[in-house]
This record gives sequence, C-alpha cells and structure tokens, in this order.
Amino acid sequence: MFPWTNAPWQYLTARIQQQQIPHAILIAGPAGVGKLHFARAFAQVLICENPARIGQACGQCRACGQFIAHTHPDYIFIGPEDDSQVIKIDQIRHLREVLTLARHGRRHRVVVVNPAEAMTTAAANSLLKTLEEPPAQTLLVLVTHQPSVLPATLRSRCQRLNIPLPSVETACEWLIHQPSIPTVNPAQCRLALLMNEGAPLRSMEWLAQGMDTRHAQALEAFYAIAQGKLSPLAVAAQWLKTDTVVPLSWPYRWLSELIRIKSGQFPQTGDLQQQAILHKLAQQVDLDELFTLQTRITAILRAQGVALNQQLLYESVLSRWSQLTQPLHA
Amino acid sequence: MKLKVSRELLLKPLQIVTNVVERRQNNPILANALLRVNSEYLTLTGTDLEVEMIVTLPITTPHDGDTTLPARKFLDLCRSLPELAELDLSVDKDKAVIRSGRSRFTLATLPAADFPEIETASAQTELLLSQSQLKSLIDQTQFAMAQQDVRYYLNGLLLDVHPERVTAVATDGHRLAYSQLTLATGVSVPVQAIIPRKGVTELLRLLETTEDKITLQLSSNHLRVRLPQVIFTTKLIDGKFPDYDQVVPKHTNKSMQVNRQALHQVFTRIAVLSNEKFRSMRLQLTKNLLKASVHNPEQEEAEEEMEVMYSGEDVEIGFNISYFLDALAAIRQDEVVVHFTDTHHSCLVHGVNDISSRYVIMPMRL
Repeated sequence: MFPWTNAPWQYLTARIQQQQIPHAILIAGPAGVGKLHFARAFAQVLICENPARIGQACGQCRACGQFIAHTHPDYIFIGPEDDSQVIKIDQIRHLREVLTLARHGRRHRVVVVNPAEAMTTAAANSLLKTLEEPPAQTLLVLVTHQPSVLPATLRSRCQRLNIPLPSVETACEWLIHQPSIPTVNPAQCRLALLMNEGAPLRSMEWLAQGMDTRHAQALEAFYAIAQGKLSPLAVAAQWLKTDTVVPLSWPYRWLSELIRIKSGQFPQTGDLQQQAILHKLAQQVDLDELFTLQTRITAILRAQGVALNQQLLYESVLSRWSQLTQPLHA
Repeated sequence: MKLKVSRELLLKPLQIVTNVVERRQNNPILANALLRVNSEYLTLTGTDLEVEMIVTLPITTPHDGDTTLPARKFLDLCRSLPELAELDLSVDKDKAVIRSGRSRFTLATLPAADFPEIETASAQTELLLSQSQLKSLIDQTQFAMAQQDVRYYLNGLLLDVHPERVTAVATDGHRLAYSQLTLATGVSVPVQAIIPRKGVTELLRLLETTEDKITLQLSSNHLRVRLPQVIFTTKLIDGKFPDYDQVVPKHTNKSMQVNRQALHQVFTRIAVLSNEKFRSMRLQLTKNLLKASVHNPEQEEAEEEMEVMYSGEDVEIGFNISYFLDALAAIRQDEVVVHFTDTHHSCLVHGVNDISSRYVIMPMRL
C-alpha cells in the first residue's frame, strides 16, 4: 500500500488477526489520497483464497485472478451508474437482495460504496437496515471525502477510518518513484502537490497528463495580462477550450502565493522561474485588491455545479485582474 | 482449443445454458458462456451469479482448452444455421472463429479463468433420490413461498434433510406448505438449506417425472443437483428458517372430510365474487353440511352449500380462499381432511390417509 496508509492498514490487518473484522467501515480522507485503492486492496485480502500471510493477498489464486479481472462475485462495487451523479435507491435495493443470498466463495464478501456521499437520502436510509443487521462474513466499506455530508445515522453505524494527507516530503518521495511518471523532478512534484491540495494520487495524474506544462503556460498568460501584453478576454477564451482548460483554482492558488509574498513570506512553489514571475507580479498589486479578487474566485468555485455561464465568469475574473495590475489604464 | 460439433447436438445444451444468462448485466463476462474441452467432452457453463447451469456433451477433439463466448450471440448463430450443419470452432488469443459450410463468424472471447464458476469441492452433504421424488417435494410446496418479503428467508423453499427423511417447507407467514419424503438419506447430521425462488423455478423446469436417480449436493452456500444431462447449482439464502414444526397444529378437535375435486370446484366458482384484495371467505359448518360464502365491496355475493362428512359442533371460520385453492390443487388424493379447532386457530389440510404433504392455513377475522 501507500507509505501514508500504513497506520490504518496495520489497524485493519490486526483486526483480521484477532478475527474481529468490523462489519462496516467508513473510509474518510481528502480526495486523491488513495481511499478507493486502499479499500480494494483490503477487499482482496479478505477475498483471496490463499493469503500468504495475514493481511496479504497471494495474487495467484483463482479468487485473486477474478478479483483483478473485476469478475469476482464477492466484490461488489456500488457507484453512480451511467451519467448519473448519484447512487440511486434501486441500486441499494438490488444490493440488499443480493446480500440475502449466500456468498460465492469460501471467504468474505466486500461491498464498496464510492463515493458514499453520492447516495440519495432514500438510498442512504435504505442501507441503514443492512448496516444494522449485516449478513455474515460481509464487510461494507463506505468511501467518502466529505464524511460530514453523510447522514449521521450512517456514520454512527460504521467504524471510521481516516486516511490523512501525507506530508509533502513523503508524497514527493512517493511521486518520484512512480512508474507512470518516470522523469519528474522534486520541484515538479512539489508544484503538483501544491496545486492539488497535497493529494498524492491526484498529483500523479496531474503530472502524468502533463498538467505542469499547461500550468506554466497559464501562469505566463496570467503574467502577460498584468503586463498588458495579452487581453483578458483572449486568455479567458483560451482557458475555456476543452483541450487546454484551466480551472479557476489555479489563479486562486497564485493569488494565495502573491498574498504570501506581500505579507513577507516565501512562495510555496519550488519552481524558480515561477517564483520570479510571482515576485514581479507582487510588486504590481495591492494586498487588499488580492483579497477581494480571491474572495470573488472563492464564490465562483463554491457555486460549481450551478449552471452559470463559464465564459462570463472567466472574463470577469481576468478583467478584474487586468484592472488591478494596470491602475493607470483603469 | 479446437472442436467440431453438429448444430443439433449443441443447440439444446446451449439453450439451457443461455437461459440463465441475463440480458443486461454490469459485468461483461456474465454475458458469456464458459466452454471447456476435456478430451472427449465439451462442457458449457452459464451463470447469473444466483443460478449456474452446466451441460456436458460428447465430442471428439484432441485439442483441449477453455474460453468464454458471448452466450446469446453464439446461440443465435447456432439457431440460424441450417439443419444438420457442422460447426468448426477454434480459439486463437482473444478471438473465436466459427466455421460452418461457407459461413465464418468471429466472436470476441474473455479468459476462462475470469469466469466466476461455483466451487464444487466444498460440498458437505450428498444424497441420492429420484427425479420424481424431488419434483414432487417442490411441486407440493413451492406455491406457498413468500414474494419479496422483508423476512428474506421466507422468499425461498426450505429443504430439511434428516437421516431418514427429506422435508420441503414453504411459507409466507399466512399459510405453510409442508411435504415430506421418507428416505434413508445417509446424512448423519440434519442439514437445512433455503433455496431462493429463482433457483426453485429453474430447478423445477429441469426436473422430469422419472425414477432416474439424481444427486443432491449441499454446501453451506450452494445446492447442486446432478441431473443426467445438466448440473444445476443455485446459491442459497443466507438465513435461518423459522421452526415450522411449531406452526403445524397438533391438537385440533374437529375435522371434516370432503371430496377434493368437488370442494375445489365450489371454491373456484365462488372465488369469482370474493374481495379481490383480501380474498376472504366465510365457512359455516353444521352437521354434514358446509356452507361457503363470499362477498365483495360491490355488494355482490356468492354462496354455495355442499355435503361433507362432519359431526362436530356448529362453527364459522373465515379463510383466504386463494390459500385454500392452492392447497387443494396440490393435494393428490381424492378425499381431503381439514382439521381445525375454532375461529382463532389455523387449520390443517391434507389428503385422506396421507400426511406426507400438509398445508397449514391461518384463519381470517370476519
């Protein structure tokens, strides 16, 4: 497993050893920290017919083969289906029907619900009965990064297992050794972590997709607006194109960095070129204005999911940025 | 893997196997049938994770191997080939090629190792009985199973295996059907298994009224029935069946005897005008006379009298008429006996001189 999941992993394997496997666990932690990987890995340990040691799946037996091929009947995954955003009550009803039947194999059965907060209220209520009277040898795993959104009735029926964010050092060390991103350097890793709230798996994906290059380009464009070289409207259009989309969380981060610099601290990014840009920008802007703009972006980010005209939002943010960096033209 | 087989030989087994394959499923491999070639046999397996069918047919090929093919497509191809056609099937990597005459089809395969076959090694109880015996046990009881009851253990048929008898029991909480077969089972410890509704239906479809011996294998999770052509396996319901013995009334003080056919006809006639929701019926018994009456919310009524053998005191009891009809249809004797006590206690129905199949029906408050 991951270096930062050692503690919860050892806790669970110890429970296997004591033959006190909980009937339901709630795995909580920030998005992109590896909760689902963790849940699946533990499920495989419980389903493997021939575990080499306690807490380790053999990876060779028939059950492991079917588990890896996603065909093992004792591993049941519940998530939003098709284009839906939510887990519907029919899915939970069907699950309850399946759980009244015996298991397929000789060992345990594991149900993973991810993300648990996607369950509709009706679906969550329908699961309560199962959580209260769980079938034998069956483990229910709810995975969530917003445990507070879950109904208290669900939370109180599960053992909670938190997977915290790793330290930047641990995460960097891990990222550097990932085979999917063979050529990254520590500075890139730190940047990726910074832009992804410190979540290692998300950062890995970010780097694998080459988002760091896009990020550098976006920051250049942001700088160019401040210098009056690019029009905010042109940049907004560019940032909204599907293949070069730039989330507004990036400018939000940059503003945070600028605020740090203005308050006499060092920026968090390790990239020297980007530091240079940020330092130059910091001289152009007023601290109060930075806070105002950041508040505006926060409001926009919070309204995600509401059908707002994205182009207008981007244009308003970037125009404001253009105005506050070039007070003479305003 | 390579094999040659005639369309006629393959068609029926493939139909049986494809029958349990669901049309829509989350897992692509469940749309496939498992094909396994083992020196002289071809084994076909299909499953929906609740029920599994295995059919074996003789073939000759020196090329052993296994794979999985889209079951429905394979069946549709076989069906649409001309009669007496020969099929040549060969598997190469993830493609299967079927040749027949001048036709050629390429189907996508999935690895056989990923197919969720049900394990067989762990069967703990095994017994032999004839097809007709098992068919009778199920036929006599299955109608009383509950449907989608929250007491999920009632949504199936209990098979209770004792050293010297096998009992099938089904109940929905309002009535209970019980059928017993005296048989030296060879088991040392009594075993109970609840077969889910789907398994019961599918199994009944396979059973014929012959004296051929078949093998029943029970493990903690599965029931497997080895029929001459088919190996049928179903998952069991993971629960505890209520103690049915306590439900069967033992101390009744009144009983009536009547011709089963005649009673069934009377009830069928008056059932037409019974309340469609509650199906309630009033039975009034006086010396050697039964009066049955129903009425519905539209104020329509039906009433019929018939001669019965009854010598107890006058009594009036309400029943669900459907439950009575089900029981009367299942009993095989010409005469039936109904035992009861009073309006508050359930009655017991069985064929005269035969208590191997018994039916308990709870009264209704009128």
